Amino acid sequence: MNRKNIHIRVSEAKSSTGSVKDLDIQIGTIKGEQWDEKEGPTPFPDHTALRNWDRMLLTRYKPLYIPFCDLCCLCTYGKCDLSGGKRGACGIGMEAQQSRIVLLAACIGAATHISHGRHLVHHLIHIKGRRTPLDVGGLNVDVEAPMIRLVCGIKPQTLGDLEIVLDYLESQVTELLAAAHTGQESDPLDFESKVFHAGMLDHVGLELADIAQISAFNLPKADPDAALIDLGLGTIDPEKPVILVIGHNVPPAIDIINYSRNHGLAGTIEVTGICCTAIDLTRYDPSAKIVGPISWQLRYIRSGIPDLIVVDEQCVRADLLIEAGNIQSPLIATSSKNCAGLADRTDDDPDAIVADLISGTVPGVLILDSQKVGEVAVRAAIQSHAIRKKKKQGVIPTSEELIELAKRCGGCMECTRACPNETPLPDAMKQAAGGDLSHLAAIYERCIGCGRCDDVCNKGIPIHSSLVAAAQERVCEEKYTVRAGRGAIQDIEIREVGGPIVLGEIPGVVAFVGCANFPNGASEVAEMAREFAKRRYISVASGCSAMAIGMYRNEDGQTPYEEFHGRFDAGGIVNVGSCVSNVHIAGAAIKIASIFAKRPLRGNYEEIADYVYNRVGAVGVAWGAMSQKAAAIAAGFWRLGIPVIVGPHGAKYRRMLLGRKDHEDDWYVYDSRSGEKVLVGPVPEHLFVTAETKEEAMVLIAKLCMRPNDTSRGRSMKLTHYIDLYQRLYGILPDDIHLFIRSQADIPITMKEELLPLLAEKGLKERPIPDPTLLKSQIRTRKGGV
Amino acid sequence: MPAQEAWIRSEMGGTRQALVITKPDVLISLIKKAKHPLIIIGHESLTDSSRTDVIIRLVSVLHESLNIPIICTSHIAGQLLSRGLDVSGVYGSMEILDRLRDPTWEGLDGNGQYDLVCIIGFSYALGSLLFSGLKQNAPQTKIISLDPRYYPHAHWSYGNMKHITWKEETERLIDHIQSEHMHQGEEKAHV
Repeated sequence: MNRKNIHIRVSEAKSSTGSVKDLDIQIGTIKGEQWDEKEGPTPFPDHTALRNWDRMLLTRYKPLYIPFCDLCCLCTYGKCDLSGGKRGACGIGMEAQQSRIVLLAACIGAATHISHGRHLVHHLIHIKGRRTPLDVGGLNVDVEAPMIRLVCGIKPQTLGDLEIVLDYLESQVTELLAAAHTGQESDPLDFESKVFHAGMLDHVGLELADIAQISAFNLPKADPDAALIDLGLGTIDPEKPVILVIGHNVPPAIDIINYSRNHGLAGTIEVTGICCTAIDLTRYDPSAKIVGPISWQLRYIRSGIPDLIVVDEQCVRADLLIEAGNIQSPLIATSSKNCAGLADRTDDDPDAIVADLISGTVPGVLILDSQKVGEVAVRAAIQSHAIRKKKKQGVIPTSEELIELAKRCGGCMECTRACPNETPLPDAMKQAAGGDLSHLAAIYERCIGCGRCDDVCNKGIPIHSSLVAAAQERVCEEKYTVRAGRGAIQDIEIREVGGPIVLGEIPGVVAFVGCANFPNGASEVAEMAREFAKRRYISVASGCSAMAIGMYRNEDGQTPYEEFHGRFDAGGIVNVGSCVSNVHIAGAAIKIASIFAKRPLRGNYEEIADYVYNRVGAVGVAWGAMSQKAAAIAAGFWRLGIPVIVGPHGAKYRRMLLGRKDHEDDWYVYDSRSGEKVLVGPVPEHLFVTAETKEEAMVLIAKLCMRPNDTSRGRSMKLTHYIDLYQRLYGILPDDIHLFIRSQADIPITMKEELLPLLAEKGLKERPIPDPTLLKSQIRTRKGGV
Repeated sequence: MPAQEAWIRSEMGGTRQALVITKPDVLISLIKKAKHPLIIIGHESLTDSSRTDVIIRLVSVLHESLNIPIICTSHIAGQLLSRGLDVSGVYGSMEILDRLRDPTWEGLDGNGQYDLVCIIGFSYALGSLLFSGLKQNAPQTKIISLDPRYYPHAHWSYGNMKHITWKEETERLIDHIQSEHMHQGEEKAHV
């Protein structure tokens, strides 16, 4: 399918049979049959097309609303108090209001990814051409865009084909946003269905963005052995000019690399990054360095190391111009979505821009041309470095300064009250005042780098900088590796693991995704990923969580990416890439249905989601989820029936999707072979749930990987992990084992002796293993048809 | 440190604020009036080691003297059991909130929904959401915070106080419960 943009205009034509005047013909799209697969029922679905599927899930996983506050403040009727069953002036109730906020969050997230995709595709078409072929894995990947195929029912082949997808996504997100206006949608479940729709659109946007950049920039193409990248503050050479790039839109950073290569400067400057721009940049150039997740912004900038800062879009701190000014580093903004109040110098001569940045005439500039960013950034960084190296520019206090600062602390507790993780800063300050910095250094490990402590200190102590100062030794030792984002999963990998996953013999796919709002430091994500890789699950990672996993060394000094392989196979830790690469995780689940089970993909969302939900034991873990984008990504997984676990801060998304294992009636499916209803138990028990601790999350992961389709061998393996983790981490046996055992064959052999008496007490009822489906349409007739 | 002010200042409660517990009698009276009370303990009861012993003692006394069942969240059940606490159920924090909003839930003992819930041992951010969730979803249930920080969404909460003050208050509460319990025991024996 191609957007042709043919425009024929005839002012006047005369022939013997007649005349034509002012004829105007425009052809936007020519739909051609490039695909022999039959089109499914829901190509380019609107926001009600999958409502029945959504409601099926939402009946089983009822939303639990946890209001952040009692009020609605969205229109001038308000503020309206919605507590205690009251309704707002517009008639909305608390549940609908909360689901409306969830919808707004999901729309913001989806719009952000889709807009990023539009920006990327527009840029790449501009530099590479509309007919640039999409290639995400050469001969190893035939299903190049599983999500686009599934949702849109088209098979994109070129960058230009993606514009049709973008048009669809933009119109749908607009519709969803409209539904959130006062006086529109009123029903919580309909809001939730729209949330799912936003999530699905988000995943399409993610896929579009990543396959475009993989194809055009030649990023790793489904490569399980992608390069190991330097990660951490300690890997950076401050003797060289250092550029810091932050955000998610990689073209300006790539043009920095290109300019330095073209001018013989490669290797003489350090190009370092934070957040997903860093991940995508290292997919392009493995010699670039990743500083760390988004929570490393303040600590790295305040170290004074970056000679120049380039920001693009998403997850960029709003106060970076101030922070950059504090260390006399010029800042270049490169995205129309984040102009930072700076003058637009896109059309100016690079010489003039560099001169203004270096002289300090301006604190920063906005340049909306990535090639120009490349030139200005490199030249300005080199000059900035020459000036800045003469004098220390960091704002991190020395140990002596820190001790003096700590003496100012009066123990008022305002910092602890402002800290998202309630860290015991006053106690640590008291210790520091006496010369013991170890307590402050320990807090560095748990700090998410928000800087709220600085703002509330009435003694003017730069608390965040003090933490970094106290942990200086630790900071210098931040030398790790992370495998470059590999992109898609190969079709051959899917063929090899599809069977073991669907039958339950690979116990699960655990995706560690999302931001860095961790409750207890980054190391918990690494611990979880390693635990499940060691248990022969497939641990998958992306974005800041992929970095967090890398920031760990085992007893042999290996990072997890050195310790475990990068194949999509049992026992791997697989970094797919940046935020937009998250879709390859969902894509792998879809490809299991398509490649392994040979289910038709084209515009066939409901059937594929039903397949994934009932068979693919995948779980998402967004331990530090913070953003609206994370909400949208999670929603995309929910619609596919993939559960998501968030850390304790994730409860602030205001809504959980919880099953009730004590309601037996909720857990029946159809056996598609006979049409009979079969009790399968609470598998998976929840669709969206907060875990309070890492230990709880690990037990939940093992539990939520169970699926109705598990064979007895598979279920037995999954139960082994669940029970073993529960016993080890909770110190007792779980009380719900009987709900997951369908026959004696499901009981883990090594635990039989222990479990049989318990099961006898609960009264084990033998149950068949169905060919499970929630959809009546999937019940096969006696003749074998559907 | 003002007592009746959300511990995390931006955690605005809304239109109804919790009443501050000023003396043990208030709590004892509330608990004694309840027909079907419950205690929920979060993981900070163990990770905040400066408070662990007092929390365990308080919860034990509430359980033993007033026969209030204990539910714990997250992964702490084994540790609580090893400290001699009689734990009646283990739920995720969201799962127990989900049960408490359901009027048809049979409860741990089959006697139905609870009319009073005492909560202790959560991080402030998560605790706030639990209280808000209960306020919204289980309006019939009285919610009490036993932590040393003010939770506006609870019905009753201690004000913000230093740990040492909270320990003293909690010890007073434990003494009151025990002395009342002994007194009742003596009365029963006398009768």
